[in-house]
Amino acid sequence: MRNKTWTLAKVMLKSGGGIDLGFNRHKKWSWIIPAALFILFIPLTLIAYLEMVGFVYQSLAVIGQEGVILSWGLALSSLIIFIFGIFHVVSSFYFANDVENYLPLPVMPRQIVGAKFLVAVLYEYIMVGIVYLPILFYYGIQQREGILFYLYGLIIAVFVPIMPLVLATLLVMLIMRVVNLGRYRELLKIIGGLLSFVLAMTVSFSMQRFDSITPDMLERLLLEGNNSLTLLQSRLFPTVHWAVKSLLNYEIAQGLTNLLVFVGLSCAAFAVLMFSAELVYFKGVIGISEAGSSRRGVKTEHLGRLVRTRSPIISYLLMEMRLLVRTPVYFLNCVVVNFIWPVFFILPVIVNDDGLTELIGQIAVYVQDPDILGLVFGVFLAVIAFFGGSNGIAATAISREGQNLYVKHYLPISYRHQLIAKVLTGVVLSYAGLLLMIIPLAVILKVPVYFTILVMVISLLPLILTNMTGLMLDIVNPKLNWDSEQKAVKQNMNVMYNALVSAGIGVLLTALTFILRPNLLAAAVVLPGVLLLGCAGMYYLLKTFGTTRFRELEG
Amino acid sequence: MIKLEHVNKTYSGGVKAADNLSLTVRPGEIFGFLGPNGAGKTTAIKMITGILAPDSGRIEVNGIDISQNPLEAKKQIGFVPDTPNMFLRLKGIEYLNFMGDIYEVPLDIRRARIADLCERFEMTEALNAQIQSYSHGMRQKIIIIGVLLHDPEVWILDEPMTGLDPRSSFLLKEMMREHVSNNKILFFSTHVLDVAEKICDRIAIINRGKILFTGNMTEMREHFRKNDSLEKFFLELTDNEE
Repeated sequence: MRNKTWTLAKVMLKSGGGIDLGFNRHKKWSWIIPAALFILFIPLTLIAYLEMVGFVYQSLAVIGQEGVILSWGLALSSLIIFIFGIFHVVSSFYFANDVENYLPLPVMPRQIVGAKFLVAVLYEYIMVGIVYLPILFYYGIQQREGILFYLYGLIIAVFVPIMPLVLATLLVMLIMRVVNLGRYRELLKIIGGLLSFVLAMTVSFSMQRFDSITPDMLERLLLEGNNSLTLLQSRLFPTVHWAVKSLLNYEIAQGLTNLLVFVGLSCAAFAVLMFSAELVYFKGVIGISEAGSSRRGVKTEHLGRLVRTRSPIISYLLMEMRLLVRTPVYFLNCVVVNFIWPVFFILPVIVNDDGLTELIGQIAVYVQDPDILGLVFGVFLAVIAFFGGSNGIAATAISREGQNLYVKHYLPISYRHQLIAKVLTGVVLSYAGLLLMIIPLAVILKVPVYFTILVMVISLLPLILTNMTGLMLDIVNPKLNWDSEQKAVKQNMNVMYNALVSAGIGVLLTALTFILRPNLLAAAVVLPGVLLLGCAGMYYLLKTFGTTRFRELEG
Repeated sequence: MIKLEHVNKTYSGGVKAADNLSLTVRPGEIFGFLGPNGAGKTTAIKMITGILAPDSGRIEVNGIDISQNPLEAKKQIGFVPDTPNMFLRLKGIEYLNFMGDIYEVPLDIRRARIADLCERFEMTEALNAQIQSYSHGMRQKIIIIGVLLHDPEVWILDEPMTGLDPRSSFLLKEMMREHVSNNKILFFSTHVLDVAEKICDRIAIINRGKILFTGNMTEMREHFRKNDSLEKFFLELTDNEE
């Protein structure tokens, strides 16, 4: 008898649950954007990343701690996988409609969870490839390590996502078990998702602080050399410790034992997950997609108040927003991310982290220096460009239509207006998140009021630009063939492509700022000018190529 | 008037879904488009409503060429698709307001029509609930109300009777009759001969993208009696009644 977990995992991958790079043999344009992005951005990003890795490596080598970089690489991958994992698990284990298809099948809860988990692990290998592998190879080449080092390194790469994903899954399963009850299920589900995220942030924040290490201890470890500092990493994910030790000692037996311990622990974690899945998964997921049927009836005499008119574009925008906010998967993946960054900036201040408060104090001094304001302005716009592109609202705006795309073809509203409304939806939501970040930041850093207002106005430009690039990417190669909303946003590579494009725009703005070194006035003229040009160009592309392509798309 | 002239459409897989279609639907008549599943009914409707562009040929809706002036042509049409599963996360009233805004229906007219249509379809009570909590029939009804808000000159329905309870089905037939009594145009598709017989003034029979016959019911019977090869096909359609 074939293993049911494997069978399920294969079905999930084939029905669009897997990785889709966006290539499609039947669409003549589909390969261009992924190819262009890979050619343009991957080498650039890789070079920048290796440059950074090299710098850190050299600095660590001076104190004989170069091995620390391996543990950083692994700890960082684990942390990122953990945080992304929370989102992935909430969306794919609970909010994905495909779960309903598996519930009536004669399979055990652990087989469904196991299959979903395998798909998630596969997905996280992208993260491992981006964060950890470059470090592994850089270190290996610098240290002239033997073939066994790389073998160990690759085995570790295969197992490294397991521990953080198990932790993320356990956390989410527990919360979902608790919130899946009562009439307000729909709302509670979203709260559960948010709660998981906040918990993850808090845990990672408190774990990252070094306050339990005394200066004496740190000094001793530093003087010891010989990569003794690697002990300090990996407190959130203890297994990382064995992975690093096996890499550092691969030539002796200790390396092998450590590797075996690491692999063994990962497998044990997986076993614990399977066991817990048996206990709690079904209770958390059954009935999760039931619509609240509490109807507050409308009386005919009250109908008049409910009927109102708006312009077609505004009405369209409002409809898009409602769908984003009310669909749990869209809400978590497209809306909430806009408000993560503000939390990320404000949380350290609230928990009163000394190191960060001190850093902010130092930044505050710089920010008030009028000579530096031009640079600050440029860098800030760059950062906004990056954040604006990270939400995926515009980059999934066409994909989210799915099989219902045909509806947008027969409505008497021009394709251009539809595209404008879709861009605006992304702009409005990312701007709301941005204001939540700018205002507290301006207060904390004591930024001059005129500067704050300037930033608030100009920052609309990078947001408009990155939302337009996102929509353009999605219109060229939308993911329309899905059976579960989750697949339209979670496994849509256009989101990542637009994050890359936005990062590129951010790099461009930063480079421009540091090459020109403008004062504030010059910066406030040149940078918005460049952005305006970009916006005008993108608008023209959307108006011509974009509308034609939209018209040709078949749902 | 709906006018199709030599319309062709071939899908990428090589399937010819519209093979030199020519058709005229006149005001004041209920026109049925009859054919088995996969005959090309939905493709034809998609081309008339502007969802698909034909490979060649001309389509006019109320005198407006859909490819030349798509927005104006679309404003003439009220289209009810075969599956009512759309805008599921909007409340009924939000969907109606959205349709009213897109078709630019003035406030006072909109109020009156929503009140009237919801009353007739018994949907007023449910307006504040999300469409996803509706039954299939209720979804169908809210979609129909939405497309009738702008009082379209041309009403197009794709397999409208599927999933409606007898009462709603009767009401829909009544409304279709009422629509054409104002000298407007009604075009609908069905794979059930019985439905076509009971409602239509004229029908077209389509199979494999080709129109086999156009005329009224008496003409159709006559036509099939004379033509042996078509008789089998006719029987197949009758079988579909179940």
